[in-house]
Amino acid sequence: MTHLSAADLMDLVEGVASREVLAHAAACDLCHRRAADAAEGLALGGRNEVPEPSPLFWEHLSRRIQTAVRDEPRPARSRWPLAWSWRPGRFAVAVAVVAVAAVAVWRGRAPVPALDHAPGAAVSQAEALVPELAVDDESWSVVAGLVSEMSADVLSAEGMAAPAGAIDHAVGAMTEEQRAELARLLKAEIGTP
Amino acid sequence: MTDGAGVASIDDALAGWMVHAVTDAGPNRQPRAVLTDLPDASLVAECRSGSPDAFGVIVERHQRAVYQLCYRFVGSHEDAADLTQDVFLRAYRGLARFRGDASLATWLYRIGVNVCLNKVSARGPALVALDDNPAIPSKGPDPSSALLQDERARRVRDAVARLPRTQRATLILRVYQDLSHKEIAELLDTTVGAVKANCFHALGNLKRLLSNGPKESLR
Repeated sequence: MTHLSAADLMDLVEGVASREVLAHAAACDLCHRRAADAAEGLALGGRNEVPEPSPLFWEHLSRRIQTAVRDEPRPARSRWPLAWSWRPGRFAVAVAVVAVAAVAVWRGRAPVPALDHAPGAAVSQAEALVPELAVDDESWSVVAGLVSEMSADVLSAEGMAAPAGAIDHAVGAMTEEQRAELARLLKAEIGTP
Repeated sequence: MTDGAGVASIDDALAGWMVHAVTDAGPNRQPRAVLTDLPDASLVAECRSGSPDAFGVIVERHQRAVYQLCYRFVGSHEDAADLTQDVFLRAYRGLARFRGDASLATWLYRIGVNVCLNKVSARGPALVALDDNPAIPSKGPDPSSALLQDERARRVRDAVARLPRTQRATLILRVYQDLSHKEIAELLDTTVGAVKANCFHALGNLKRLLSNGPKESLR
């Protein structure tokens, strides 16, 4: 005779057993006794309330947790928010960087400076190389084409756009000198008539 | 219009924007009264976008359930409060990893169970003194019956503390926290059948411990 499994017996204790399980338990002393033991355990230990702390405790605990949280760095979407979450973009940048490096080496120019692994930094460094490579070099057009396809909308759709509040947060974390430099760059970009 | 006038207006605009960025938490900052009406998923999004108050609302909303879970594991008010703080700190640090597949409450429970099991493993079973309980005095009619109730509660806590880890976690989540077998299975990364089996064995062991005393061997 096959006895009931522990899972079946738990169903029996909780009153949700199938008809077959009920029929077996009615006919089998061992299974009936095991289920009765578990039910007794539930009756003995089941009604054990957690003592209610003082009403002031919850306010105190909440304040204590928030004080501890305040010392923590702000949670981000990921450790490296703009990194490698935008596959088409990262592929294009990787191709662009490799192509720039290959062209520079092939043309026997000065060694390409070491590139940062961050995609944003790679774009900046690739752009920095444009003046050197774009002139009278057809191969550059392939690179330029790849990079130019990365529109703001595409980047946004790929999750590369900065989350709401991130720019303000970044500015808030800047030093006075960095803010002054940012203001100068923005003025240079949009402010000169 | 001179160039100087144009630059001055941009200067003003930039200065105003920067003051806003530095003094305010961000453009999405919501008044606290609004935050308390938001569902958990929106509060998580607010936290990620830099709202300083959103996590406070999460704490206020879930601290009681997390505390009660922790208390079930350790049976001590002070330890439960410390563990509750630990759970929320870990949750805050891990908000970036919260994908929203499960509810925030379930996710907090998962962290809570892990934190409590680690704590319990490090310290062994909690044996709680009768007076280690800052609860409000019982409103029962008779002090002796309140004392009996406290003694009974202590015996149950001690018996639960002696259960094997998985049985203890399963029993606490099912019997005391009233989670479904499916929710427990998700929390503990196991199957519904295993949860039922562990719960059944835990109840059998609980019965033996409470009927025959702490020297009873467990199955």
